[in-house]
Amino acid sequence: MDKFLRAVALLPPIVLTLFVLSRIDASNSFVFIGFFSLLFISATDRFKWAGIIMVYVPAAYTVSLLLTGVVSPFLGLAAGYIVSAPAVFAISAYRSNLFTGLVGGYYASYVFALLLNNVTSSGVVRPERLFITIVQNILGLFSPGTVNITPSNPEPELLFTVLTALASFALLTSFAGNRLKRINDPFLKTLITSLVLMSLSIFVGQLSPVFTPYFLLGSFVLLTAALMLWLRMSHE
Amino acid sequence: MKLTAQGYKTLVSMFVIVFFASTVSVYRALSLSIYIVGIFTLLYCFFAASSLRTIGQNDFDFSRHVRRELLRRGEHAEVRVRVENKSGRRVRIRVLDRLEGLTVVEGSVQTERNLAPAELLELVYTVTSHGRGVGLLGPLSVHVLDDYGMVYKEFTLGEEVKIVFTEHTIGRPRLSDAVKKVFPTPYTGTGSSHEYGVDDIFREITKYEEGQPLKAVDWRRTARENGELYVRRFDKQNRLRICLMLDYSHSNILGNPSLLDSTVAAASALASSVLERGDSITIIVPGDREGVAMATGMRDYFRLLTYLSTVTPVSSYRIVDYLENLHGFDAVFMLGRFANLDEASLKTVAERVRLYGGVLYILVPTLENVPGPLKALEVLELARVQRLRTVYGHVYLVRQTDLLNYLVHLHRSLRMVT
Repeated sequence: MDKFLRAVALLPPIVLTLFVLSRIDASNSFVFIGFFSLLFISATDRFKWAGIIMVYVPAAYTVSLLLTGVVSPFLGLAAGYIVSAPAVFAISAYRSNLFTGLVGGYYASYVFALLLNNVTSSGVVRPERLFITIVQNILGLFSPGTVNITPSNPEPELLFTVLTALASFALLTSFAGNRLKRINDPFLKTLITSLVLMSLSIFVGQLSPVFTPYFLLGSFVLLTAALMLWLRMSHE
Repeated sequence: MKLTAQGYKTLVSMFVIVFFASTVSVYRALSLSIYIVGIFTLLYCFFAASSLRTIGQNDFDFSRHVRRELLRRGEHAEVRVRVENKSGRRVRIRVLDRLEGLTVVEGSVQTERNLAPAELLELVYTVTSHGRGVGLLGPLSVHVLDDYGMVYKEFTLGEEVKIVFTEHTIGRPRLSDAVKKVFPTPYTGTGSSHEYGVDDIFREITKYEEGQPLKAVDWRRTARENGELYVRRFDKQNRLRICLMLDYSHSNILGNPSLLDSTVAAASALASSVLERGDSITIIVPGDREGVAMATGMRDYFRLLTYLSTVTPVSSYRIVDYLENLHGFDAVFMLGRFANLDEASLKTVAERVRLYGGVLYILVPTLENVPGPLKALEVLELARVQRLRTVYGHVYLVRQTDLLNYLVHLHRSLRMVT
């Protein structure tokens, strides 16, 4: 059950990656070699050796081609590595023993997948251009206004809102880990309270301009401080 | 209530992730998703901590069994700790038995388990000590954790238990060996005391003489002898009052085993022998804060051993400051090198003991196997003892392994005299 929940939690970045892969121009097959080689390396030990071969052989080959002046395979391979990043993050999150490892992996994977999704949905589907644009996008994070990384296509947003809601619930329940069958009172209380609180926040947030990321961050900081204070006082 | 290490890590990690989700706003649904997880972890800590508040010491039955509480140095003691969950709910507990001055030989002093209602947790381990002294066990530290190990409540169960490790010598001393070396020994002092007389021992039945107490009349014999009065006579069994003055100064920490350890071992064994025979023993350690420990019966033996085991070596002292402590003893044994004892001090001590009606023996232990560089020291020690002997005759240089034999022999000889 825990594995299932983890898989559900990582569904949005995986679906996004599949979308990205479906959009990419398949004329340069090195992008798929790069994608699967990194995927195999981060997979189970059984596929690891295949992954290592798949990394070194094409890498050496494309570098040799690069030296002869053929750039396309090299850029295709690099683009493949970049496209596989969300999947690699998702796999490491899935295999993490820590709850925070799962959440951190989920977040990193999702952010990277969104970045790739935005780039490909804006028409950049050739691997050679994809690599350069991604680099520009990452650099653009440090110079806001140059690159827009919010989803441009409104259609998948609804789908991903639903998927994200599902993933959020799966993340919360996966907090229980293997003890999911013996969920205790505090866990149930917390689950219900946090869901109610967030629903209220979203509802209020839609009506009021007060609901900003900074407001939420501030609330989180206050709650953390309150918890620390309470734990300390109750200990004394 | 406290956060566990895992709880701290989780909260800090969540804080960092929430911080990133706030500052790098990529997709609002994703940010919300991260916020809800962050809020969830915080709220969980709140609720879990409040659910643990009701649990306390009274929700657990505790027992600790130590197989032996008096051991020789290096011996092992098996400890069994039992904790029963009486809270009526399933709890996850982590227990840790505190140790001080002890080493775990086998087993573990800590464990973590989920306990169902009325379930028992047993901790079995073996401890030892490589030096003499008192080892402390407990109290048991109990952490009651929430199911996911985020917060815990801490309390202790049971009391502190002492395990005494002594230098106590097991086995019978070889009297014959000692006799060869110290016999004949001259004695001075009274060696008897009426005020410390204990049980009388039956000697004979004699005819009644005027002035004898009526309670001494043997009525059965009197009846058989046609009314002529007969009385039972008893011998007074006198209790010897032995004083051991031990030199705990650093000059005795020499050799392996050290002279101090040999002295303490001999003193412990002698104390046992003296108390078994109904005599009393007082141990004086000049320079120590407590300084004096007295035992009048076997019931005090454990206390005496505890004292001997816990005294730490002292730096310096003046023996003449302890003269008043030597009052009221039939025999005073000074054990140790007494490296700072000069002729004048020795004369003062000997005269004072004699004045108090006792007899003084000074036994200076020497190393059994003297390594090369220490040979010179042994020669110097012999010269020092000979110099002291010119002032007072009963100063003896004794091999550390023969110390107990000497003491036991002297004690028995004193008893024969009384």
